[in-house]
Amino acid sequence: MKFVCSKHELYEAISTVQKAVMPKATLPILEGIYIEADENVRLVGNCFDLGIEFSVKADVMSAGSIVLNSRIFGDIVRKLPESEVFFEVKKNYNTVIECGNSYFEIKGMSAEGFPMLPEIEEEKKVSIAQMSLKEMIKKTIYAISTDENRKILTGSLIEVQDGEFTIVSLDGFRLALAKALIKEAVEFNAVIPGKNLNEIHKIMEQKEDEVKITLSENQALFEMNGCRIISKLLSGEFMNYKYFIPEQFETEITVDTREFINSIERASLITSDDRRFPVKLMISDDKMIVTSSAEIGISKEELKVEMDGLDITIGFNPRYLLDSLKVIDDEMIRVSFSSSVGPCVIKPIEGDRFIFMVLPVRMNS
Amino acid sequence: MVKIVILDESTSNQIAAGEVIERPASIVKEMAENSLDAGATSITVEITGGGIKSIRVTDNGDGIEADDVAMAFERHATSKIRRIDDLDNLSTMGFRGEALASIASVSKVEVITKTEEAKVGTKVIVEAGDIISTEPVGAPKGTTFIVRELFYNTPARYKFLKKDSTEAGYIHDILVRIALARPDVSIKLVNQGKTVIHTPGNHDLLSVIYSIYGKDIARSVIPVNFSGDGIDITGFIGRPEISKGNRSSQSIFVNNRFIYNKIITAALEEACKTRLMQKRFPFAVLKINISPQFVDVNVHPAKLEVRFSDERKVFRAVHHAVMSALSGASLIPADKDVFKKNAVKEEDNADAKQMRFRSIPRMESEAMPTEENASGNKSEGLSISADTGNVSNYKTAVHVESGFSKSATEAMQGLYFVKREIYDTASDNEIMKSIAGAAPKPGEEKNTGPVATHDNNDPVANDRNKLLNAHVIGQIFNSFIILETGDELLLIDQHAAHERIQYEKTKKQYSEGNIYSQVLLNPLTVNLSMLEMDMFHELSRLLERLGFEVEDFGGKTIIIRAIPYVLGSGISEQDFIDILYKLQKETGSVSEIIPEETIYMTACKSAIKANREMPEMEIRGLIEDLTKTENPYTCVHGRPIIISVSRKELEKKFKRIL
Repeated sequence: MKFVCSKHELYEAISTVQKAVMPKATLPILEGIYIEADENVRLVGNCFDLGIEFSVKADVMSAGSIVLNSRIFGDIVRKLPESEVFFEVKKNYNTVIECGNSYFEIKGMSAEGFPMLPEIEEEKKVSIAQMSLKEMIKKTIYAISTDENRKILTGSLIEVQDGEFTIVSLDGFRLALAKALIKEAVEFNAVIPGKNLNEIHKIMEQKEDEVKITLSENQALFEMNGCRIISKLLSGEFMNYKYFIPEQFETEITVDTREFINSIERASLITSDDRRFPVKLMISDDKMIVTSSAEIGISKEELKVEMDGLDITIGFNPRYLLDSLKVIDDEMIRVSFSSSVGPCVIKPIEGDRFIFMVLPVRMNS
Repeated sequence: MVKIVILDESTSNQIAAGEVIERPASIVKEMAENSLDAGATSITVEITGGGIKSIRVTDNGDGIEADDVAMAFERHATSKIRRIDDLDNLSTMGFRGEALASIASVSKVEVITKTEEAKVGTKVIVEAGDIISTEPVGAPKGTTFIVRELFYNTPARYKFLKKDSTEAGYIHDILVRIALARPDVSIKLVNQGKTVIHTPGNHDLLSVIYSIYGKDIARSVIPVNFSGDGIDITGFIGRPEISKGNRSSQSIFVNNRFIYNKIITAALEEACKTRLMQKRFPFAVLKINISPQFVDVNVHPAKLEVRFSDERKVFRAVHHAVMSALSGASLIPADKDVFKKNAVKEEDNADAKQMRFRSIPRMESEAMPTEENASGNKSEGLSISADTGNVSNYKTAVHVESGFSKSATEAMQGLYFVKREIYDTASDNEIMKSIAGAAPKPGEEKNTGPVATHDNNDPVANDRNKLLNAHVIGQIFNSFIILETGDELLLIDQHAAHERIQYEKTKKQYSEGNIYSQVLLNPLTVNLSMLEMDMFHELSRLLERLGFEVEDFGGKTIIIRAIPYVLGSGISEQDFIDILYKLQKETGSVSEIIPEETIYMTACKSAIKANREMPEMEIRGLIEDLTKTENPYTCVHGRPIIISVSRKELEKKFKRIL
């Protein structure tokens, strides 16, 4: 096995597939990256929950395959000069990596026994622009639960129905939903582990190019830019999120997103020391007072809003509000309150590209 | 088809023996308890071959009437109760009437007994439950019980016996418990001709601890004294430095019966929390007196477990008793020599092996039970000697000293000590007589009297004053602070000290803040057991005050709609149940529901680290804050904050004194 490729591309491939390599495993082969040279060069990392395959353009002199320890292979290539990398497997899996004036010879492992990515039988398939999926993941991933007792909530639900592609995350206190339209008429439901979704988010690029998602019974395959990612699915029933989102509101306001974020951030300066104090919103007469008080002192700030409905005073964990507000790019947003102890819903002025819901803190002492 | 028959008596006795008689130690326990029930003031247990070969239990109790001896070996024969109702007011150790019959059915037993009134004693030999012979014999008052060849007729059981030394160890443990339970009884264990335990029987628990655990332990215990809610608790709790890696040095007695009880152990350990390192268990001898009506001892055939009708009350009482003992005591680990400095007027007793107790500081305001004992001691000591008829000599040694020479300050504070000494007259027949001090000599009391009326009688307050008034020498290794006070050098770990301050501050803040509730997106349903459901109903108002919004959802299910804001990251079903249990035991402030680790973490993170230079102003501030803490002695992980080095120790190191 022998090939030449660019250091830059090889390193990109390594760092991508490394996300799917176990950092510590009982079997050395599981700490390895599978490298195969054919027409192109293909790198594979697989930790069973997540598997990534990445292709690199290369000038292949002779075909073959090898497994190299992920950490050492990655570290070597990262430090190589920006030039052509010469890669050759000699006898006894000894592998030569040469670039510029540097020469490495490291011990590899037989590729036999490496867990290759499973073939996904094409059951259901959907395509969506990479940048669109990337944006939706960004808008929802923060609300994933970290509670391992409720495993299903440590993932995001991908729901495709009636030409709508929806991602939903929720934990005990808030919910985040993002939506996009697609052309295909398929129906599909899958809960992808948050950790994997995060990796997928990083690999995707800000491009119109489509990512193709294929679903089997317990795995999902994401294909894009010469990269195949296989994630396991979380089993179980995701919560019926639609049931939680209220439709009747006592109070609705339109507010400048940036100003809202800034005022909450300022209010939480007072409470940031510990998480014992909420931030209070008092809405009346087309203005919103954002206030907080803690042992160290108080803060108060007035914001102009457009308001419909009744006056309201409501408390929130500032972190939950900020998590939602910070992923919004819209200049203005619509914030609706069902009651002072009911959920608050944040949406764009027009449509429902995203719906964020945060549960309040009861302020009575 | 196999016919069903009623088992004959000896078979049924052998089966029943299995419940009570597991090993030699069980025999020792049953026999010693019988001796105690018979009013013995001295019990000697001699064993060979780990008690498997022979056990001999000699007491000076009431003895058994000649006519009753044979009957005593019948099953359910007892002199201790008459009707089941008597159980409610039980004050004897035994009551089932099973022990003798059981022992006799699995071994060869010889009993020699004589009552006060009887002219001659009686000797009965029983083998495998059958009485072989009964004959009159000359004997002193009391009962001697000899058991030989245990399990000789039940090979299956014999096989399960452990090594002789292990079995002897079990017997040792049993007698330790009895000795601790009954400081008024002299307990002696002779194993293969060697005396292993010998307690004085002088009514003083500390003497018992001394004779069993040695002087280092006896010096490092703090008296526990509590009375309230119908529960009396006395005993001793060990300072952190004598904690152990297991619970083997915890002895809990309920109404003078050694027991294992989770509630009590939990209360004890909860009270020591943050004073002990993790995985360390306190030394403790606790005696809990509670009206027999509120405790059920008939739970377990070996009577090792009890049930309380109100567990919370017991938990709180123990917790409070231990807490106040610990918080009232100075816990600065001192080097051992400090205590040797007490000028001791040695009695003219140079060749007798001498044991000396660490003096117990006694304040006039403190009503110590030992005080009451002290008055009765002398006569008790005499009665022991009369019983055994073996006294060689005894001396009463009473020293009243107007102060701990340790430091002038303390002398000013008017401590005075009653020193007790036990003289081991080992030179003659290993008989140890102990004599406790009676009232202080009148003349000397006059001297100490006026000084002792100073109201400053709290060792912790003393330590606080000491810290505040100490001269700051400075900081070493940018990590430790050195103070000088009187004849003592105090070293303070700056990180540990600051961590303790921050811990108590954080905990207080959590308890005092407003209560907010975070509403849950998806209400959490929790399934409870019957018991937990009762707890929930009992605690529902408290839960609400803490910020929970919980409803009974019918059946054994509850639904949680909102949780306290401070539990920001959410809770699981199990967390909620844990909180229920915790609230049931504790006072119910918010700080109880926050995981301790959260508070530790906050405290640890906000505390200054080692290797940080501190200006004197900061050192003074730190010390001042430290004196305001509840427990200035150990950091939250149980490591010491302050250690003390005495001037004398330094002088010794420099060989100025030897």
